[in-house]
Amino acid sequence: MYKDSVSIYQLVQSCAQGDLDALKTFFEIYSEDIYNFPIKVFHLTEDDAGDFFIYAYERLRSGKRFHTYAGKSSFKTWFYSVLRNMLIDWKRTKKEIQTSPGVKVNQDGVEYSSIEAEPDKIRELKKEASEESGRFYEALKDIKLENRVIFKISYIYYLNLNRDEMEYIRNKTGYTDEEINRKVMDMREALSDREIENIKAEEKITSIYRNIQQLKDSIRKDGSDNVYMLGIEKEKLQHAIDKKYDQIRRLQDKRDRGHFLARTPYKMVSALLQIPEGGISVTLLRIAEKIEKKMKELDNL
Amino acid sequence: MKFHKENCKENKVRQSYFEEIGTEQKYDSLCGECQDDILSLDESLIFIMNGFSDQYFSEDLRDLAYFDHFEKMDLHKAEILEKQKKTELPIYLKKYMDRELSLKDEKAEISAIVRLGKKGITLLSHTVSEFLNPKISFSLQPAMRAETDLLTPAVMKIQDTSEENFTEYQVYKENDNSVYLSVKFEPGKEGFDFDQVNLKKGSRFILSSRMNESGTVNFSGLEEGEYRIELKGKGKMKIFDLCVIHEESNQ
Repeated sequence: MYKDSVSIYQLVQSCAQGDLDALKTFFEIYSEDIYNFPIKVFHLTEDDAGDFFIYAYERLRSGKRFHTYAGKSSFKTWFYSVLRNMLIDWKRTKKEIQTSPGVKVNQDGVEYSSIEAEPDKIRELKKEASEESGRFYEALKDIKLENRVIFKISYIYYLNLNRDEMEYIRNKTGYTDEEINRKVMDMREALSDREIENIKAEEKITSIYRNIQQLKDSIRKDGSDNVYMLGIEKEKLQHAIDKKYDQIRRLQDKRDRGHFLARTPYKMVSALLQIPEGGISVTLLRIAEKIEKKMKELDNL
Repeated sequence: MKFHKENCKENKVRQSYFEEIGTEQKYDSLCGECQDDILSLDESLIFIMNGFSDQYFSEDLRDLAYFDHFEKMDLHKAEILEKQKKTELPIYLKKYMDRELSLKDEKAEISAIVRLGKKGITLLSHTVSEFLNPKISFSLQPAMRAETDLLTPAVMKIQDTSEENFTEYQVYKENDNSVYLSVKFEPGKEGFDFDQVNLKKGSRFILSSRMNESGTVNFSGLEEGEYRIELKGKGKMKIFDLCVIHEESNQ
């Protein structure tokens, strides 16, 4: 019913007038696009996508934003542009979660607890600290420009080239900005079809579940053959199982973001940057190891 | 001591990770230690990409000369990904949308919509009045009874501070299906006490309770629905609207 441009235009015009039925119809049709936009284009988590959805919804529901659609460009182009601008605003205004103690002081200066006292687990707090550490971002800036460009082109499906990276490629290859953009777009189109990375994700997750089963079997077997199994061995096995479950959670999170890492074929990277194919994998490995080392340093803080 | 599988290329697992698709070593063929190694590389790469993404939003997009260029690239990506399968809109967002579109009554000066799920509670939206200047904070402490992810809030506090008085509304996850609401009221320098709190669900009166000595009144077992909390005393009234949306069930 709303597939042709005329009827979409009419729907949007009705929404612009604040017509409630039109707005309901609009959201019935396009709410999934709003939700999927940050996930597909910027690889945000579903939780973040949910927050963004509410942000966008609150700003669209009055209908005022629809006034900017004049029907000259394609509706989807206009719509994605609106969503993108809202996403940028949302990212900049997103409030950090504030932590607060579970203890308050009343007028008489007497402390009282409004939440049952529970010990915080240090591991989670350390994890927060390492993730938010500014030193990690300094390590990112330490990556040499030429290596940074190789990295970004190799993972161009997820990333964008900034000004100095574009300039580097221009100077090195003689391509114009338009030509570079065209090549990047071609790479992304080629990568968008790839299901290979999703299959790899499932293989990893399945394999880890198998590992968990083997570890559990070890515990059960020792329990039945040797009643006096040393507590410490059981604890080690249980720790290994917990670690595997943790890995699965992280893998599932990455899979949900589409982070199963669609890498640009080295032939395409080599053609764009006019560098030998052979050195690309080594460069990527060096960068990953440098950051890995920094992450471990932060974890040990 | 590492016990590598026959297929593990002990010194080359990492190198193999970056080999061309189809020639790299199969994950399943590796031993546990080498699998951990590969996951460690995965995580490093994700961190790098998240870092560059953050830079994009915080720094690159402020480069006005390239703003149009970035927009063009992002919109092109959105268009080529249209043909991919979409992630379904979660139930709690559908409920939120339906509720907001059908809302006829004016919202109270302070209102909040919370999402209740297995992982805890999250604030979906709230109304803020200039006069009242409420402060909203989350507490990262474990839920009292339910199992939750420790990094997900199980308690939500909304503080309403004005010159006259201080009111705090605490919403706790009680279990997977209900929340517990605690209202704490303190008078300011010349403030006065509200002494009674009424609870309504929809338009139906549920319960009335008097404040105890510490100025607190509690309500438990609040399942999915629309609640209005009225604080009354000495001819004055303050209203707080709370909407609880369950993330999965269609109650």
